[in-house]
Formats: sequence, structure tokens, C-alpha cells
Amino acid sequence: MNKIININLAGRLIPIEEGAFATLHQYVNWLKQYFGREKGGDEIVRDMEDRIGELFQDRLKGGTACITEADVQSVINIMGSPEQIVHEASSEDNAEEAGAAPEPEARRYFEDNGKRLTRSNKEKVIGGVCGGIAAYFHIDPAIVRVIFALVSLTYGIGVVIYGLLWVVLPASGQTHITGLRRRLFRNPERKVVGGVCSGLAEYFHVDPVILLLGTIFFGAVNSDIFILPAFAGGIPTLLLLYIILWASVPEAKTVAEKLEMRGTHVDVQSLSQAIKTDESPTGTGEKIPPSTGREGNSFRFLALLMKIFVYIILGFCLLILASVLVGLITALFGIALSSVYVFPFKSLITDSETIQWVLWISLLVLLIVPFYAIIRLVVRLISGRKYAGNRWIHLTLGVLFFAAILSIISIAGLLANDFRNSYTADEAVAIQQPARDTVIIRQAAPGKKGLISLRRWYDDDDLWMKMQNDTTVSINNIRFEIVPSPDSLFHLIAHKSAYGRTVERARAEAEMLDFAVMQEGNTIVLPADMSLPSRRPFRGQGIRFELQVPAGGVFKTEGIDDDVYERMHIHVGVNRISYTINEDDAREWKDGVYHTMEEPVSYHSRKGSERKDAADQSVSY
Amino acid sequence: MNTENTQSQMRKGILEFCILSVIRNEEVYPSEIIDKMKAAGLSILEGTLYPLLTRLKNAELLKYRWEESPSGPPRKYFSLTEKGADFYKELQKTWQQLSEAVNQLTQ
Repeated sequence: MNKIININLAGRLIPIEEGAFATLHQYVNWLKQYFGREKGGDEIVRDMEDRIGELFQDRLKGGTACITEADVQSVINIMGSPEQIVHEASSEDNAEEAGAAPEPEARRYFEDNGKRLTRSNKEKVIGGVCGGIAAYFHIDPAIVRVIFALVSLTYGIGVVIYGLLWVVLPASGQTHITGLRRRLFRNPERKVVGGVCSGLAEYFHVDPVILLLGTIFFGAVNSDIFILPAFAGGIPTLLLLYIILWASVPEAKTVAEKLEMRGTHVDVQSLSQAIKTDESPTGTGEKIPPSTGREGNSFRFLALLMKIFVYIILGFCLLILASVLVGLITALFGIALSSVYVFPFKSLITDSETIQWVLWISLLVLLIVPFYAIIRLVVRLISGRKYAGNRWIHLTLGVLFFAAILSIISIAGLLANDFRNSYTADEAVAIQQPARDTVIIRQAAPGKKGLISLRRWYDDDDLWMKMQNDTTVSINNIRFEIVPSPDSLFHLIAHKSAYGRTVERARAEAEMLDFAVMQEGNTIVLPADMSLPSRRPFRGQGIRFELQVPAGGVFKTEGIDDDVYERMHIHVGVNRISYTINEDDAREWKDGVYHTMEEPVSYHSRKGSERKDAADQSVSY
Repeated sequence: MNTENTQSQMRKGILEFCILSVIRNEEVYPSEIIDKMKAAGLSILEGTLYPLLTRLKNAELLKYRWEESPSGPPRKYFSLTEKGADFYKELQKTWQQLSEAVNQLTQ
């Protein structure tokens, strides 16, 4: 049993089931809304309602008492269901429809544009930074990119700035370059190599041939190129500029873009005109076709030359770039790997567990993030696709990267703090007084090579630090000096020094140092290196042996390197850490020769009595 | 490419011309137009016809008058204006050229 209502449809009285009325009502509302935005839309809907009423009336006359759901459906089919109407209309009045749709978007753009500087989600090659800047300042994004590229040439400042902006600026999908009168494009229709010259020519309304010839001329004149094409200094600026432009200026693909390239205002009229002329086989009439004119053939030849030329240059550049990238990747990878290996020696750096972990994580992040970025860039360049990476991932990676940098800096600061104070503990080493007042000093053999050995880079045979296993580290920080003795005996004093955040800590570290001095008859053998106490971090520990020789005593060093006379000082300044070899180095004694200690004159006189050096004659006893 | 799309595109092109032809012959009201076109083998949705008629009327190519009908409310009877007649002649010329060309090509 259904409820029946009476409706007035365009002046006709129609009895209709309630459910059917709902369907009808919905349909008519759709018609009203759909035709609402058309001029005369009311009239259209009225006419259609009229027709519907007519159809209903025919049915009623035919014998049915009232309009049912089925009736409504069949009438809708006759009039045209919403899908059918839209489908029919869309292929018919494309311009009108298309005109209606983007408008709300454009309106939104104009409302929301505001003064915010954002990254652009639409206009982006890498991160959309240039696109956003271009939208904000209302200039051609290609120009922004070129500027960035040029700035990057100077020590890569551009890259740093770009990275900063990338992290800082929020991304917005609404930045859209509209309303630019003229944009710089590469012209694909008339290109010798990359269409850069043509695009530039269109932009400045200059004959492209002139630009092309100009580029060749200036490129060739700056003829470093024939000698060193591969190095940045050798590539003439003009060609480099060409390459930069090629990379950053987009090609004018759509008709609208081609219009923009020429500086014609883009609206429906010019658009349709351009489409028509584009389709005609003669091409656009503005340009001078290259094949006409007497310069035709020679121009072609020149163009071909230029093409080969530039391609060779490009090939070189790409090769260099590729090898740099490969080198970078392997280096990063290698460091990452070795850090895992080195990490067991973390106790060398600090004895605080937390700092160790933070350091390690920061290092890994610091290495992995650029690694990932480079790989992605390479993949994107090769595949040519715009890999739409997840925005959040990028943001997180960027933040992690900076956090890693920050944490490493702060750890460095913390560590530097640990070197603020130093302490030297003196320990007298018992030695036997040598016979005949002659003493020979030797240094023990360095011992077996450790698991990992670090050398000072300029010193081939002197291992500076050896890591035997994760508990033992040996440092070649043995210093030595020979001074006059305050009394008539030989003395050997070991000065153990270390650094620490406070004097007490330094002292503790210093006193922990252990060493072994051997004596065989007249020969004193000093240790070659010293082991860090188990699990103590490196804090500038060192031992300086002081041999006090009484006046008249004879001594000789055998096989002792000059280095031992240096004094290592670690200064921690406000902003720097420096390792200086100070002026108060100990006096050097020529190795392998007997010296006789003179009467003490002054501790700091380097010259002293030249009798020592005059004693090249070996005095043997 | 969608054949349906192309087909409807072909239809769309000459729909206006056909409707104007029907109206040119004699004064008609909308549902008559549909019947006549269906009789000739060209079916059109009323949902397409009414908007088209209104647009043509707004472009001053058509005019109408109300006429009382024996069954129910008054109907709109459409006829060509002078502008419409001229417009129609242009379309006719285009159609002749087009049909000759197509016939020639599709032989």
C-alpha cells in the first residue's frame, strides 16, 4: 500500500506515488543544479519539466491511476539520465565546460595566495623550492633555477641554501604559475642541440641564428676547451651557462607554453588560433625556417658541428660527474662499513655509554642520509621519472640529518671540554748508576702491529696509535729529554701527563699510566709506546722521560727519533682545539753520537756548547 | 581511443544542423522535433535537445511562440529567425563540402 500525493508539474495535476515522487524530485533538482550555471538555465529546466508533465499525462490518459516509480524511471530515460546528459553535453560543449571547471580553482588561488612563501608541489624538479620562490615573487621559475645553479657554482652555496629552504619551507599544492606574461622555455621546434638558443631568442625576440653563432664563436674563442674540456676551469662560461640552462629551463611542450614562450597573452582566442596554425604543415609563421636562404646549407653544417661539439663536452661532463658520484658513494659506503668495525673501539673516545651511542648513531645518520639522497637523485636522473617521494620521509630525513650534525658538534664540544686541564705526575724510575758514567739510551722496538693502526700522515714508520684489541690501545706518545742533573748522579724521571675536564680527573688519568723501562748494563731501554689503561678513553696521555745526566757524564742515544724531543700540547681554546709543537721542545741531541753533558748553563739554550756537535768524532771508551 | 567517444563526437557535430533543418521546414515544438529526428534515424535525448534549443534561442537564431494545445498547458513552437536562416545557409554549405569530401575519401 503506497501513499499518493498530487503534484503540480508545469500546470498539470499529476497524482504520483510518494516513493516515485522522491525519485522525480531528485532528478529535477539535479537538472536545476546542472543547468543552473548556464545562461537561460531556468528556462531549460522549465521546458523539461513541462515535457515530463506531458509524458506523465500521456500515461495517465492511457489508463494508469497514478505515476509509479517505473513510470518515473522510464521518463527519466526518455529525457536523459544525468550520466547521459553529461556525456552528451561534455563532448559537445567542451570549451564551456572546461571554462567552468578551472575557475573555482583559480578563484581559490587568488584568495589563498596570500603572502606565504611556500614550496610548490606542482612546479618542482627536485624539491619545488625554486617553484615556490618563483610563485611568490611572480617570476619565471626557470629563471630562479638558473640563478640557483649559478650560485651553486660558487662553493656550492646554492646547494646549502636550497637544502635549508627545502626543510624550512612548507609545501603547498596551490602555488601555480599563472598570469606570467612571458616565460623562458626551451624551444623544441627549432633546436640544434637542446633548443636553449631558440628559447632564449624567442624570449628576447632576437633571431636565434645570431644567438647560435654567438655561442659557437665565444665558445671557441675561449679555447681552453680544446685542451682541458673536463675541468671546470676549462669549460668556457658560455657553454657552462648553456648546459645549466638546458637542465633548468623546461621545454615548451603544450601549445599554451609555446605561446607563453613567445610572450603572447594566453586566452581562448590566441589558444585556438595557435592550435590551428600549429596543425597546419607550414608551422608557425613567425619564425624564419632554417632551410630557406643562402645561409641554409652552411648554417646546417655549422649547426651540426656545434651539435657534435656540445655533445662531446656533455659526454665528458657526464663522465666526470658519474665518476665523482661513484667515488662519493663508495667512500660513504666504505666509511659506513668501517665505522661498524671501528666502533668496538668506542671506548677510546669516551667512557660514557650514552655519548658513545649517540655518536655512533649520529655518524651513521650522517653517512646514510646523503647516501640515500644521492642514490635517489641518480635514479631519478637516469629513469627520467619524477619520483614522487613521500614528503614526510624527506622531512624526517632532513631533520635527522641536521640533528646528527648538531649532536656531533655538541659531542665534539663535550670532548673538547675533557681536554681543558692537564696534569703531570712525576715518577722517579729507579735506575742503576751506569758504569763509567756512560749511558746509552735506546727505544724498544715498536712491537707488533695492532689490529688497526693509525699513523701520522707524514710519518711513515712511526705508528702513532695501535689498537690491539678492543681493550688495549697503544699510543706512541713517549717523549724524551736529556737535561743536566742537579746532582752528580744519573736520574730518570717519568712525567706522566694526561688531560681531563678537571684537574682531579686529569691527575687520575695520569697516575693510571703504566710503563716499563729496562736496563741492561749501561743501556737503558725506554718503551716505544705506552698502553692506555684498559678501557680508558684517549685523553692526551703521554709520558715524558727525563734523563738527568750529571756534568761530565757521557751519553748516547741509539736509534731514537727526533720526534721524541717534541712536546705535544693540546690546547683547548674557546673555539678551537689545537695540537701545537711548542717552542719549548726539548733540546735535540744528535743520534748515534756520544755527547758529554756540560755544566748547566741554562735549560732553554738550544745552542749551548757546540762541542757536542763537534764531537762527530765518536769518542769511544 | 574510445569508439563511443568518436561516434558521439561525429554526432555532436551535425546535431545543431539537423535540428535547425527540422525547424526550418515548419514550426515545431520540442517533442515533435525528437519524433521527426527519430523517424529519420537520429535519436537525441530530450535532456540534450532542450538546452540546445535554449542556447540557440539565446543566440537569437531561433524564436518561439506559445500556442494553446488541445491537451493541457500551452506549448512552445520554434521557428528560425533571420539570423538563424543565414546561419543555417552557412551550415548547409559546410555540410555539402564536408559530405562530398567524406564520400570521396571513404570510397
